[in-house]
Amino acid sequence: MEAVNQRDAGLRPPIGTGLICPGWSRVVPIVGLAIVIALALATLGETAGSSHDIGHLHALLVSPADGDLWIGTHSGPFRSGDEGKTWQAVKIPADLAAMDFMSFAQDPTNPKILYVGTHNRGILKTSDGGATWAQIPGIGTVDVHALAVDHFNSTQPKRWYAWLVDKGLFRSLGDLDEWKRHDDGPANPDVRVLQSVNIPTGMGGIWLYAGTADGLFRSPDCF
Amino acid sequence: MGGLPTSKTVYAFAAGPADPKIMFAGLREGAFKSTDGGESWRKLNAAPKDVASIAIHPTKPEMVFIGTAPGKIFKSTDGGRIWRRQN
Repeated sequence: MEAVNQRDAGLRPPIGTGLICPGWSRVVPIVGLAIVIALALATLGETAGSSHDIGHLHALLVSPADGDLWIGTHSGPFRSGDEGKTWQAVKIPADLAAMDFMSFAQDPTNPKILYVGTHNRGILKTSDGGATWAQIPGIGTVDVHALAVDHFNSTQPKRWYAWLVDKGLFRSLGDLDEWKRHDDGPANPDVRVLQSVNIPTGMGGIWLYAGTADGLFRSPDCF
Repeated sequence: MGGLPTSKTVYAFAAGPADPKIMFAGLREGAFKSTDGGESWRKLNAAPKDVASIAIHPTKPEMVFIGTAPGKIFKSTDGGRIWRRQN
């Protein structure tokens, strides 16, 4: 994997090891190996069902609790119990009303706990599958474009990641009470999506992927 | 065609819960799939454009959903070959 666009001035040592932890690098496709396959039988057919207008969409989640779909939109979160055919608005208290629900992260050990990154209310949390909501106090009313969680090693605290517009990549261990800024993120700061991917880096951790305005990047999750 | 564009905005990304080397990326130009951890990508010609988000079912890895920026939901039950509009 060719490492380009490294933003960090230097290489970071990972916590607790003597290894070198490199920063962000572009996920480079090997064009020569890519195969274009025309799928003539594929269709974009429409099915019968509701044409419920859910407006501008930012985020999508399939809940491991019940298979319900959740979407984050310009006007709030919606939930579907029929694989997206019909949608019900998830009620958010007036004092937590937000513009643009940008991203989801579900607690890997309790799927009723769901976090939502918003454009102007920071991170909202529900602990009961969407019935009640609260704002995460430790991060403020910031613009959170992307959220991710790493708990593939269940012997360690959950690692939560948040991309804050104009502020960079932040990390929280455990229950999201405290956040620490990690770095500037990929070279292009317009991050749209984050996800921890359970592929070993060879340095004792896994990868954190970021979709940006300049393509796909990844960084070893060894910080 | 064939690779993942390097100068376009990647709005959506999802890796398989069972096999994380199976990845999907969503751009305004459409959706792309990798089966080797991002080393190579192919465009899913039947997938919608204007992709805003992608989610893989946590227990049915062949079931994939795409949400487009205008708010349309598409479902594939075969890992991204065939897509059906849901709403």
